[in-house]
Amino acid sequence: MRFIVTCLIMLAVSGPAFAFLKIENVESPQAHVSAWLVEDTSLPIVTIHLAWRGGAASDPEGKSGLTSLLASLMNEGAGKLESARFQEAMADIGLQFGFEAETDRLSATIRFLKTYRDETEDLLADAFAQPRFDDEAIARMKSELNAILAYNKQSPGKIAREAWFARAFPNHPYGRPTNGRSEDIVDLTRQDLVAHYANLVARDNLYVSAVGDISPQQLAAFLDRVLGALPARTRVAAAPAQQPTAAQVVIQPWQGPQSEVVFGLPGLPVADNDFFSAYVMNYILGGGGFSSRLMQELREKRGLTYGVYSYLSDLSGAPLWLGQFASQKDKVNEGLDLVRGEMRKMRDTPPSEEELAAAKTYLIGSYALRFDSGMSIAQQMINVQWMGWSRQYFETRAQKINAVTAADVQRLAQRLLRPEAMLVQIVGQPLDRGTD
Amino acid sequence: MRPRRLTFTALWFSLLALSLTACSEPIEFQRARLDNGLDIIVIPHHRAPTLTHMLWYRIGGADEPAGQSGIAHLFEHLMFKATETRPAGAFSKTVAAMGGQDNAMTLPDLTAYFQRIPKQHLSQVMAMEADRMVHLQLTQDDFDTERDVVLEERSMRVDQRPERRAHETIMQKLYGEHPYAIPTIGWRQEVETMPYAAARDFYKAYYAPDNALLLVVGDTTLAEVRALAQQHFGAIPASGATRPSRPQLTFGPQPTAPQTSDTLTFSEPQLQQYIWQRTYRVEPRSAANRRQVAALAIAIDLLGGDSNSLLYSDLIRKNAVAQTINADLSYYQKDAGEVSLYATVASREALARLDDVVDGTITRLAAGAFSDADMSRSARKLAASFLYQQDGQASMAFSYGLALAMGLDEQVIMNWAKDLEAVSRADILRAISENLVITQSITAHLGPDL
Repeated sequence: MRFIVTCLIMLAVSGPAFAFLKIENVESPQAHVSAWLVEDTSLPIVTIHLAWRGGAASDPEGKSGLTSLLASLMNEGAGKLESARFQEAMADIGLQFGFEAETDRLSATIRFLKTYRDETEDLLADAFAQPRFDDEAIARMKSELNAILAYNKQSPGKIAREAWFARAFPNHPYGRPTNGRSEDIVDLTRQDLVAHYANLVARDNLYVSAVGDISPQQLAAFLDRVLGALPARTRVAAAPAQQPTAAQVVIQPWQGPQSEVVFGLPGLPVADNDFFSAYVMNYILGGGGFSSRLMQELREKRGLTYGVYSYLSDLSGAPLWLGQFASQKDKVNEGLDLVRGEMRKMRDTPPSEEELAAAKTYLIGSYALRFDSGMSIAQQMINVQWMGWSRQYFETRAQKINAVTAADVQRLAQRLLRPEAMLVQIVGQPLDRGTD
Repeated sequence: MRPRRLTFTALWFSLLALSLTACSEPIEFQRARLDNGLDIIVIPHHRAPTLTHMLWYRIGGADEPAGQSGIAHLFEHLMFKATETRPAGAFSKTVAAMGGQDNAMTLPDLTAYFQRIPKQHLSQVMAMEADRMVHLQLTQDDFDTERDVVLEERSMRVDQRPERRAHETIMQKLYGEHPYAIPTIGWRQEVETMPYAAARDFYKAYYAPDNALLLVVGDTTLAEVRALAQQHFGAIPASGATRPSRPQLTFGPQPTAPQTSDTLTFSEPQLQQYIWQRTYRVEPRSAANRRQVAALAIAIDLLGGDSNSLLYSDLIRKNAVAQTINADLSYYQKDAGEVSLYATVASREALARLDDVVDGTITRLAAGAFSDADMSRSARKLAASFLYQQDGQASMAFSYGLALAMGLDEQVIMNWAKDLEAVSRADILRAISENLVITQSITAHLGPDL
């Protein structure tokens, strides 16, 4: 049991139970890699999550897709083991090991059986110290990446998001697709991969978390062994700050019964003192599944869409507030008008005390649901480290949410929600005329 | 992020495939039954002070009256509307306010409602779940709005997506007269013209305690769950509801039929790639075929489960004829399992070669082109991934709940690792010849210009 139900005072204020974790800070003695560990012996397995600052946005100009390609090659051969032998060695011990590239982040997930800790260390030490990047594997992974690009081009929702970012950030890394452009991918070389790996995957831009049947000493030894060969310092720079393009409605044609709509505005960084006010405001407006105002207006009352939602995105160079829905062609502008209307309402009037209280109890209470598996606990611990918060965050989060007032919510709505400045990307063929 | 009320279709194959990957560590299934027939299963899991509470009704998309395809799923949406004592939307609002999440899903044989909650709210969600089992207040207005929502859902999931539209045709061909031929989300036209009375009739006929399984996974005990279930569901009378009968499916080799796979071709200008796929229907999982299912799971993993597989080797490593391949075995239906093979290829020429290449690989597999080390590697990997699955409360609730609600004995799940370990080479060869029956498969070619 690593969870304790706690804090009567907080219960009185917030209702649902608030769970916190027993997190140990582990630092490896030689490589000085530090990690957050939740030791849990209920199953004989270990989950380790690694995340590096610098994702697809760190692809050099003209080499989009490089970080994605790198991610796909990290389990494709190391040391003496070519791809097929390496994959067999993984399967032999039931090891799951894979990388993923996001816009600002390169991450790795490792899951292994505690019986095979030594074998896992051996294999992963090679994977990090001597990744092979064989030409054969590069060609294969390029082909797979192209299949992913093609698949994404069949999905209007993905097309709309990508088009929104391309329009919002025309001369900025955030405007490029995370998986790259096929015309760039074709020219990527082994040298590109070797250089990018050496530049990006270092120790000073790395966050580590671990959950499962492993002691702090064992984890420290594991980290030294597996990550000891990484360079001390990264050589990729964070994406420069950039405001997204504003006040446009762009339509890209697509043959299909529905149109996809992506809308967005500048958000605010998690470091901002008002972040939690924005977080609560967004929950009430469009973040809360069925209870959100947008869901009520577009789906529950009018049946215009299967789903509409909004969220705050924490891109380091451009924090954003984004939303999305899909609707029949003759309902798109009606839906968009309703979205704008709800944004104005949020600006004009503070939420009722009931609505605010319901938002707080959900945001505080549901946090425990993110800790019901080792994998999700590891991810949460990475996210908190990523935001620059301490382990105290798990205890203070509820207080920060509880401190938000109705006036704060309205103030943040006035600061963030500017319907007239919104960048709207539609993919489809809207037939109705809106009032805006 | 995507909001809820899911229709389980092809998208979910891979997720559900996990459900057959059962255990090596003892999991505890604790059972009880109320006098009114409500089945109860509790799986204790004490990692977090949370619970996953699921009510599985033994009714689904394959049980609908003729001409009313989609009613099971449309009705599932209506379950979130008003009851005699709660206004529309109150269910989800109450769950959210307790810091929980709720949703529902409709499958061919089952409809499940679930909540993930902090554990102290179990009694309240059970009270609400019992309330809507019998006290739903349907209105024509709610019905009309929700029908529009479902049509939007259908547009998003199927009509916008050429590969999903093709999947519907493939299922029609594969299952013929059996209702698995009909999509759970319903044919568009039948949903558009669905009469309001259909919802009322469906509710009356099938929503009853003796047609349901209550599953709770998490930080609780059977004693607690049984007492609360008695309190909230105990007074609801049994109905004697049973699902309508269905035509029987046959499995296994049919020597008289022409030994070919029916092949469908879909030309869809929106496609950006060429897709080759084949789906076989196979004998459903039961207590009687434990060993065969374990053998088939290993066989399918050897065929295309990962990049060590024969298909990966033949289609990608050696020939570069395909860009991606995938092979899946899933048991998400009561009357049939499915083996799905899927490959994406870059050109029409490559697509044309794929039938022969894949058939050649399957022939090699059937002739035993794998080592003992390959076999035991697959078995170990499948056992490990099962153990990883037990890492999550919700993932256990979904996959075990699905199997248990279809009537699978929990012994089958609990002994999975042992069954995998016991599989012999002869078992695998037999599983291939009895299950990968070409006459019980449909092959499809998809591309922008076929």
